[in-house]
Amino acid sequence: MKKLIYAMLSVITLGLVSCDQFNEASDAQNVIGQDVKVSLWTKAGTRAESGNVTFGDDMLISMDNYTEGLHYEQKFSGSECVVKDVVPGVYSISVSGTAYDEDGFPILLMANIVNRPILASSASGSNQSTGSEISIEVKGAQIGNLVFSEVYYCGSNPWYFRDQFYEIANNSDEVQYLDGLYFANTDPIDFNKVLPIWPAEDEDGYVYASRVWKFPGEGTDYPLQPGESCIVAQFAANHKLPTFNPNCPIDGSQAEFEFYMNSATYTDQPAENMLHVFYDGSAEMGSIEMYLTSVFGVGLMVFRVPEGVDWDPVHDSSMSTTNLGSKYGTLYAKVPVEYVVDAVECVRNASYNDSKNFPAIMDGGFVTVGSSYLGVGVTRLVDEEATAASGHVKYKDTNNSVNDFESGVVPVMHRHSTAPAWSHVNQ
Amino acid sequence: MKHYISKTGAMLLVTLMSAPAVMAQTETQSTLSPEGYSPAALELLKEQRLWFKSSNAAGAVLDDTRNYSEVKIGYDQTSGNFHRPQDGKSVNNAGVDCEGFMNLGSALVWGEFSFKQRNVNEASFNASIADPFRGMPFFMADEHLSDWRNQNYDMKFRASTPLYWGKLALGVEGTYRAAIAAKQRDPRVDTRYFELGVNPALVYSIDGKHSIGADFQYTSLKEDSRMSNVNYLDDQTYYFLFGLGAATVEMGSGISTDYHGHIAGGGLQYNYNNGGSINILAGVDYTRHVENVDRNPTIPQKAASVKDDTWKASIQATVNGARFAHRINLGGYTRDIKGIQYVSENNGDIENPGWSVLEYDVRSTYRTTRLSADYSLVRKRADEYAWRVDAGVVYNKQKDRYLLPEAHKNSSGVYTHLTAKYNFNLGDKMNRRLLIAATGGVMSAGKGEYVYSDALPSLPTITVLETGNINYLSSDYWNVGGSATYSQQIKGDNRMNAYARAEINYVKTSDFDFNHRRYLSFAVGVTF
Repeated sequence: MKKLIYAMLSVITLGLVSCDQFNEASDAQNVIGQDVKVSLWTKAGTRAESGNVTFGDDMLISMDNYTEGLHYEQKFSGSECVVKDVVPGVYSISVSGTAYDEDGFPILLMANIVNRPILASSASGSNQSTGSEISIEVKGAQIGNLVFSEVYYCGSNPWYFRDQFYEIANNSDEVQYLDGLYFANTDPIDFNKVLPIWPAEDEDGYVYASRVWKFPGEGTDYPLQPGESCIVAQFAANHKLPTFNPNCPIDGSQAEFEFYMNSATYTDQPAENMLHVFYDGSAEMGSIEMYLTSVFGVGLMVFRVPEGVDWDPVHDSSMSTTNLGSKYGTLYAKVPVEYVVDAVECVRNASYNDSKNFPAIMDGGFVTVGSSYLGVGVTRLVDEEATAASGHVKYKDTNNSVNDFESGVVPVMHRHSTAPAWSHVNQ
Repeated sequence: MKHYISKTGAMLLVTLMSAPAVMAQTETQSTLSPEGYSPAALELLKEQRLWFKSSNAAGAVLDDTRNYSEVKIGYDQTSGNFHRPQDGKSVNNAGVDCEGFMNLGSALVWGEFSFKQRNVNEASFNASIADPFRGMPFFMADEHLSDWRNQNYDMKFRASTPLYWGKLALGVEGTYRAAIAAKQRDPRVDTRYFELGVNPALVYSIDGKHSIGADFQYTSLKEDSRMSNVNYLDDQTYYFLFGLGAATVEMGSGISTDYHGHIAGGGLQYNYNNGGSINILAGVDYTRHVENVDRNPTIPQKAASVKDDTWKASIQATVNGARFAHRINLGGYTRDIKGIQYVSENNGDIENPGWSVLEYDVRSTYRTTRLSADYSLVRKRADEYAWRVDAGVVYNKQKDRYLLPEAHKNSSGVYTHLTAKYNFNLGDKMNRRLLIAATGGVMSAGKGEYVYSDALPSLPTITVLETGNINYLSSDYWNVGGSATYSQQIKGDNRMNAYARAEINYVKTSDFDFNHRRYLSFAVGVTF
């Protein structure tokens, strides 16, 4: 009899454990497409919180669910639109278009939101009821005169990562000076996609740099003419040499700048040295031999501090912070979003599209080569129309790397833009 | 676990091998023919045990309760390009099966154990689970052709009582199934599947001719799938399938996925048996199967689940005359699977990482309808048959939908088959028999349709996997085959019969790029 009781108790226990699963499965309703109402507001061109600008008739909204490969795009006029029949999920949303201030002056606007759940308020399991109504602040777009035109971050086989380089090109019709331009990277996103937590009071005003460098020069020493670019290498040596890695696709000695860190192993090369600015709250470079960005991809940016502003994250504690979600006390430099000239978010692979560092106004998308040590990089697409019109190379720059870059290409230095006249390569 | 399974299997095998000793003490010898069971005799015996073919273990007492046992070692090989992408270009199975029924007087027991080493060669679009056809639409897949090395262990037992007070019998069925499967090429997977089931049942005899039965079915199942790369320098592209080709693209060395679920249901039966000439069993079964799919079991993220409702109804009838027996079997089956996808959000907490479910919806449905009718004419000869003809027709309809973005995949077909068997009596001494079978069938497939037009339409899960699936399901084909089984007693004074069987089946189609599929099998075994 005891055995019978035990057996019955076991069956009852199993039944109770499985009840939740049965209930949840029974609760599930057929998916219903959501009509997503989007309202835009901006402070651009006005002192008011909203209003005082008129949104034009060229507004464009794009919604991407990268996990499922869903893309919705809609043109509209004014500050509101409804995107119909959107499948519930997590979306990156980008908005662009023109608004006009009270004087009729046009303002190019842009906004992005990443990882925004679109939910059916009545859906099973839903705990957010506002998923289909979104209010978005659009800001004056930052169309940089300087852009990342080529990025090679993943290294080459076998496990060689000293060959990383970053190309920055003049994407304007006027000369641009590299002098004093900052170069920084974020931390890579955690493998488990655990995003950092930054101080709430920062709102969306900053991006957080792990390490910051600066271009040398007194103001006009390193000009980039329209159609020119410069290469910044981790280590500006010929990596194809047997000493390094014959499998490497590039000769880094062609780089104009390098991140030399006083290493005895990786000696100083003819390229100009970048100036170290910040790492973990200090101006010191730290103990590692060479500067290395993650071969899994990180966020990269160049930014310029406005004249007269003293941006000093080493000595000004208001310009640095820790990741509040981390038990480590590593300090990160706070870079105001409006300082950023160009940014590109490189991620481990496409499945990390929902785990980005940069706010979408800087990069609404991402680039990836999908893996590490492949010997391939990403290159910015040429805007053929603008190039033909200007007579020198012009790159696509929509603030969305998905649209602007081609991934998985063998890296080439100065693929489209030419090296500047002052480059040591031309001496 | 493997060691445990092997040990349990060995114990069961020993139990079954020792069955004759128990039988000698418990069974009326007059019910057993001294020459034992030829393969045709055992086939006929098992075929006439209608309750055994139901899900009700308690009904054994109303079946033919002659003891039997069978042990078989077999090898089979399937090859040819008429297959679905996940099937593999060729499949080799080697295994052992044993089964036995014993009437102990105070109880009736039946047990079965089978082990199969299954080598699947050059299969594609599965990098995750042991059986991609088990009704789970959510799993990882990759494009590379890869071999699989699988081991399957199936164990089942039934125990039931005699009729208490001439009216009531109780019974229980227990099931343990396990599979270990390993994909041999990056991205690799090592996956472990098991299910444990118990079906208590009862039968009530109304007046000796009419009986009713009921059973409750419960199964717990789990599959632990772990992907990895051996060449960790070369990350692989793989896809997490949502159904009908919809998928998300992922890269790297893969993830671990935890499948866990339960099946609950029951069955009702009605039996009319006039004591020999007419035996009819009608039954209906319903089960609900729910199973969750969690990504990364260390920080579980609910990714999907299925709700799988199955209805089965059948009417089986045997009519026994002095010379001929007739068997009729009508069956109906519907299976309705709902694929549920979750929208979840990382909590961003490094100390206590986790995922919160924001919403879950039914995103896809899969409906299978199957109707079948079979008729057999059997020319009896003592406990076995001299010859028999089996004819049947099966109608199958599959209707799959992905709700948003909309996609659908529909197929249907009617398969008609005919089998003739002749059991040559090569000599009554030593019970020597040669059983020859010839079979043929024709599949008339309806017009299959697969429409997918939205997200990522160029994914190979759409252009190769699902397109290959619908082509397979909508192909007309015919098949011919045959088998020869030689058997005889091992010793004249022992009921043990040994047999050797060779079988071939050839399936031919000319639709799409398919050509044929060939099945060969060899087996040796003993019955007693």
